[in-house]
Amino acid sequence: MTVEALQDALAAEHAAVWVYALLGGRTSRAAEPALYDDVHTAYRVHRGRRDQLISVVADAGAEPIAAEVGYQLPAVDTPARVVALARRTEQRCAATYADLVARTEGAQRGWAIRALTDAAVRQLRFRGSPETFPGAGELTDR
Amino acid sequence: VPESVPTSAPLRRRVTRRTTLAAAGPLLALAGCRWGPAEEIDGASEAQEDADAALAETASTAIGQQLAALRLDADAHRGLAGALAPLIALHTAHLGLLPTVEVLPESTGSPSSTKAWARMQRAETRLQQQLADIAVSATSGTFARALASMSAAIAQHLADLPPLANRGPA
Repeated sequence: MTVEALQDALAAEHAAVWVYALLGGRTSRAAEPALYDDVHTAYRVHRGRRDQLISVVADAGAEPIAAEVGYQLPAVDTPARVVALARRTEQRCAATYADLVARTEGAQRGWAIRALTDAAVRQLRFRGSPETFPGAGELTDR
Repeated sequence: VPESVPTSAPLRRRVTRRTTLAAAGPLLALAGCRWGPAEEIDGASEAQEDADAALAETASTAIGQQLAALRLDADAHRGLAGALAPLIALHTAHLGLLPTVEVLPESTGSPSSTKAWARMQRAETRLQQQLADIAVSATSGTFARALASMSAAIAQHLADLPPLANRGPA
């Protein structure tokens, strides 16, 4: 169960790395320096987390899943669309890590909580708003 | 999550056993019932269930105390009231999923808005960490997920706080 959950998180991080690599190429350092910095910071964070998950899955004796060949994305031809896609990526990562919290224990769960928190806070950099239950929005209606 | 809360007679018996809890929220206040899907519930022992109920009570107490402190500060320092409102709403919403526990504020208010603001940030940071720690200890994954989300929400709100300089006079 835990390896499967970690593989799901790894799949999400593969996608996040792919998205941020794309967004980095669509963001002008000269015209949008703050956005450029945020996108590149996010890329480094997600790449590091992806690599961590690969190690953890391999240590568990499983074969880490590979990234998809490509991901279907909306057009990201303006800074506003870059921001929107980055925000959505963080929201999806937050949801993935919230699920990982539920499917892990001990140190791995602690790691998942930190990743959830990071994604929740990072989305604010991309014009996100504070939520009542980041990563677990369905709880808002309970 | 409603689908995870059993509504069988055994659940009702367990809820009524919890005499220390004044009332129950929409999730039957966690205490006395188990979070999680059926397969998780079936595998949990009564001891684990009781442990999660105790953790829920601990979380509710911690959030309730911080909420009471925020309300005191908002009343004492009108300039802070607007900035504290989102946190008050957040904690109130979180408490709605947890057992109701009567709490008394531990603080008596700060003499200045600057001190109140700084104390609030420290207390919220502590609460965020405490909820994360409780989540790690929880037996039920679904319960842990909810607590982790509450912790992350506090981090989000802290990151989104306006600067104190904009808060006006105490």
